[in-house]
Amino acid sequence: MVHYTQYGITEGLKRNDKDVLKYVYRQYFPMVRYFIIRNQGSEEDAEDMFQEAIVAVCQRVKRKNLALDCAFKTYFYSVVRHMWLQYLDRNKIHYEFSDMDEFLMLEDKELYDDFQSKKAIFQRRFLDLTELCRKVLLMVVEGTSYEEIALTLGYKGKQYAIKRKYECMKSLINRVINDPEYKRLSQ
Amino acid sequence: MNTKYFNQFERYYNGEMEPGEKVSFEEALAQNPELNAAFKENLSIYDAISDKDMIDLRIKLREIREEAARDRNKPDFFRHSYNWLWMAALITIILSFTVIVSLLIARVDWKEQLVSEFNTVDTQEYSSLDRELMKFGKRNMDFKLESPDDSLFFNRKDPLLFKWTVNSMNPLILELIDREGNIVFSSGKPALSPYVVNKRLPPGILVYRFRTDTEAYYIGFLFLK
Repeated sequence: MVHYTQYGITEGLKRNDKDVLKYVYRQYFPMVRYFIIRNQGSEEDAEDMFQEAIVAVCQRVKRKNLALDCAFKTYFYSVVRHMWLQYLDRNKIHYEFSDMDEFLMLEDKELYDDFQSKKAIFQRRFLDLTELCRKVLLMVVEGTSYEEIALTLGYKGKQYAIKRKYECMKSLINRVINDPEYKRLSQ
Repeated sequence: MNTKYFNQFERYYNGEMEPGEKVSFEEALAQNPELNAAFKENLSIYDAISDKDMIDLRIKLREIREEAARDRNKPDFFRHSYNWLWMAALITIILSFTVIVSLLIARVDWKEQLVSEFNTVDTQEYSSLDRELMKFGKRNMDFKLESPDDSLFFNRKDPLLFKWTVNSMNPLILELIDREGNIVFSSGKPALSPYVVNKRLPPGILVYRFRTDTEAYYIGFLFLK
């Protein structure tokens, strides 16, 4: 397997480079999994937390340069730790962290805002849609005309494309309103 | 999220409202806080999915997660890439072995076929010349001449040594024939290997042949200087 330096990782994350994302997953997911499972979480929580931490770090490196004075592993572990702590707090789950590993006291508030936002929930639920639905909605938000959508996706005509978009949007909204995080945020 | 306005939002967003309906909807948006909040939330969904970069990142992460899950469900043996290498090496060895065995079998078959062709020469419809040539070939399959060697020129003053092996009980006579077709030397009686021709032979090209009373066995030529 290719080894990426710290610089290689941050540059790859800026470009959403899939090879780098895979590398980070292979290298650091076991550490995240270990931490989450030891601290009231499940395998599923570990996967979700890993993804959200990567999204947060990617956002961070794209917004401003990330000049790390520690190993990427330590930084990433600290992000996951903070996010998980917030998650436990929000869900009023009692915790007593058992990790003795090195971590940073991160005060980068904006790093975590997105993780808790409705936007992140909309995006996560959007990914649960079928590939075709995702395509229709992405074409709509890109400003593609319904005639063109019908032509590209092989629909009978504009009206059918509008109907499909309506169904996909409804499906997305149903998924959003049933999301536990969304329910908690909407209270 | 208030879903009771969903149809209205969709019609507005898709540009399906009549001009009058559109104006009254926009007035209602300004006056009805509940409608306004629901509309803003609806728009924020479009805003969230229009963040192409983030959607791309999330799709890739989802794919990686699914690939990893598939990988975890694979049998242990195939999880490690070096196991694939062992598997590839094993397949290569098996294939090579199969090819080599096939070639050996094919070679034996070919030999058997040749022998059987010789054996069935009489029963098949060949011309007389073909039959004779095939019989000649069959006889010579086991005839190995060790001397004279592959040299073309020999000194006529030196004794000419003939050395051979043959898988036949038939006594062989050795004869040397000049370019005119005259037999310049004959062993007269069956010759046994090794056989030395001590006779002074004429210079020039000579054909030597081994024969029984009825058929030729081996023919070659040499040049005496």
